Amino acid sequence: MKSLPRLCSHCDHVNPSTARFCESCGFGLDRDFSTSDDSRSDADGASAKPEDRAAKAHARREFARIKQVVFRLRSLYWVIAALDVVYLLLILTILKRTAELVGEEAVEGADFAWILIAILGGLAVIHAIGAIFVTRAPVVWAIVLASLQTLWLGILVVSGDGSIVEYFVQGLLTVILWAAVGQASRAQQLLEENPEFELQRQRMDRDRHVDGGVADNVRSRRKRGAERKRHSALLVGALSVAVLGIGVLGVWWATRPPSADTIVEAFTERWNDGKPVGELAAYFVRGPESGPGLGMTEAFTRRGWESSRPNVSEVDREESDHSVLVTYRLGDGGAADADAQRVRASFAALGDRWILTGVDLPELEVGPLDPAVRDFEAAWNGNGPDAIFAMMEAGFRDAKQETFRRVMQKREWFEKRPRIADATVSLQRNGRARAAWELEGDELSVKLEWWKSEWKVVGLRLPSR
Amino acid sequence: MTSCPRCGATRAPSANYCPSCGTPTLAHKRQHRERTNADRSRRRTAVLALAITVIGPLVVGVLAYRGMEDAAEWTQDVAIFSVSIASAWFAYHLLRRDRAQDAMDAGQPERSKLAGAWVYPVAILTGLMTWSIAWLYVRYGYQAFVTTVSDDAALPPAMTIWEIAAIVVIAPIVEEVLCRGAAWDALRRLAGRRTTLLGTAAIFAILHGMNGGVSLELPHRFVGGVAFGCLRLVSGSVRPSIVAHAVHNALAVIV
Repeated sequence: MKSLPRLCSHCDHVNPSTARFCESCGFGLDRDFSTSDDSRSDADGASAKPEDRAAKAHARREFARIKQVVFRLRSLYWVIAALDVVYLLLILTILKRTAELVGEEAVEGADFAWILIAILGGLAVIHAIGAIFVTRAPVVWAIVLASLQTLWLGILVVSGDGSIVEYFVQGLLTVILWAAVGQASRAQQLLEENPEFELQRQRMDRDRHVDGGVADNVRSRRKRGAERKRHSALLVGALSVAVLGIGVLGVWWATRPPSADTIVEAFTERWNDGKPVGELAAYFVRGPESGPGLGMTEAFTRRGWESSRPNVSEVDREESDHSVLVTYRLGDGGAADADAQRVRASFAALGDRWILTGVDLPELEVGPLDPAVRDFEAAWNGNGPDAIFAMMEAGFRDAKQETFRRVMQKREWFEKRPRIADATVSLQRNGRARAAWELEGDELSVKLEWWKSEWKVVGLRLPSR
Repeated sequence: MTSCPRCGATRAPSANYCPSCGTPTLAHKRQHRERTNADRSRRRTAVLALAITVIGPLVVGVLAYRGMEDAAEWTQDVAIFSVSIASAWFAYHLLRRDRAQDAMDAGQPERSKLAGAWVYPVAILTGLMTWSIAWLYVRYGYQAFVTTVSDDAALPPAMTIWEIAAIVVIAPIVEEVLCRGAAWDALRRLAGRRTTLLGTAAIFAILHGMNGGVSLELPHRFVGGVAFGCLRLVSGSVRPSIVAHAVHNALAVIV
């Protein structure tokens, strides 16, 4: 009686009746190999050939070797995360000690330190996440580590801070990590092709495992369930992100920076209402006490505009994305030089608000200089210093009076000084002038400024001895 | 008929294994070894191509942002763009060798599920969405660390046509060709679609971290990378992701 040929349940190959192993795939015909769906499909769902026994044995050996690479990547992630935390603690300690030594406000570069802390903290979190998930998605996390290492190598090379040994070690590490990407991809491929391969802890004794058995079926069912859940999560996630996007757009729309009209109108209103100059200078980013604010206060005071000034009306406006230049006509006009009666105020957007960046006032209208020079000559040639002090601008007098008094006494000029006459006068821009006299073979010079309605002395240089 | 060198049993010439003892034939072993070697070679090429797409722009980017601080901004842009294009071209050139083999392995090329023109409105919406997320992150997260106000702070000057073109047109094309083009193709040879999507998004994020932000730049760039990658995945083309990226950048310039 002729025996029937034996059909391989794994690959459907027809074998001779005496065969104990399949001639095509090498699997034992005495065992029932009802192949699970997992082994017949790859990650993309395309049908794959049934596994060859030799290929499977080779894959098992290869996986045993290659999974060590993934475990080493995980260890590396933990080590780097720990180093990040150590660096972070070190920086925090240094900051704290520095603050204790020199005071909180004196720590320069504190912003930079916070940026560094944020970056290091972020990296520590990324590395810790990588250590946890590298066994689930080896390729992605191998790429992340290799890319970050490449970035670090680039920074090291460009900064030029490292030694030759350091460059070599970091370069070698970069090459190794990119090679690990290839190994990780192979590990992931083997994981996807062979459901019994696991990078996690072995849940089932290998001896009790049967291909296509209960464990395989359960795993297959779980896999399908997980896929369904993932699709639902993706759908929910996409919807959430869309809602979030619309919400963000709404938030942006509601909180977008106000237009420049608001600040221009407020500035004009304060000007015309005769508000104190400090309230106008408050529109500078650092207020009236900043450099531009003080300059504006001085310019207004010299014109006598501290609390009352000619009205302005807007005549022109130039706008760009981040700045506005407004030109005002000052008062009722009527001056011969129309340009001299213009005021220009520039504003700029800073974050979500607008600030004043500068105010150009018209040229100061000054009175005749000669009477002031003659007055100074009379004060100098007269007795005592009081007449000279009376000609000084208040701020200058407060700051320099004592010094001037001491120097004059030292030179024995306090009561009576050498006579001066025939001043050389030069009128400068913006209400400033200089007068000089020949005295004792050198020069006596005086700086004068127009303050409100008269010339005032703001600088005095005595002849050298 | 041939005989098994181990057990002496006869076997068919076409057999891969001895039917009696299960020992593989020499021809079958050789065939398996060749296939393994070919697979290893293709993987090595793909890793090399992937590394080139990352290393080139990353190193030149760091050099441009930190080593060429005094140079004009447009020279930095030109350096980064040209190296990125060269890297993408080189990677494509490396991958081209295996393309025929890939087509044979895959049976058919990946078909586009959203090949119609309506993928472009979706791309525009995607650009809007990614910009919204990035704006939220930068406004309420990132700027908490990097924004300082001072009198000396230079106000942002008005952009030139070149800068606008570089941000809205050239950068999306170069970055998408690099990340969703060359890096995508290389990674697709190494792993499945999901891994490719996440891997290219990670590369996209890290490439944006080279101008100093490092980890601060990663979250919103990664989200953007995933969104653009999804477009690449469903459309099978890099063009929709370029459109989305351009919309994202244009909104960033306008706002």
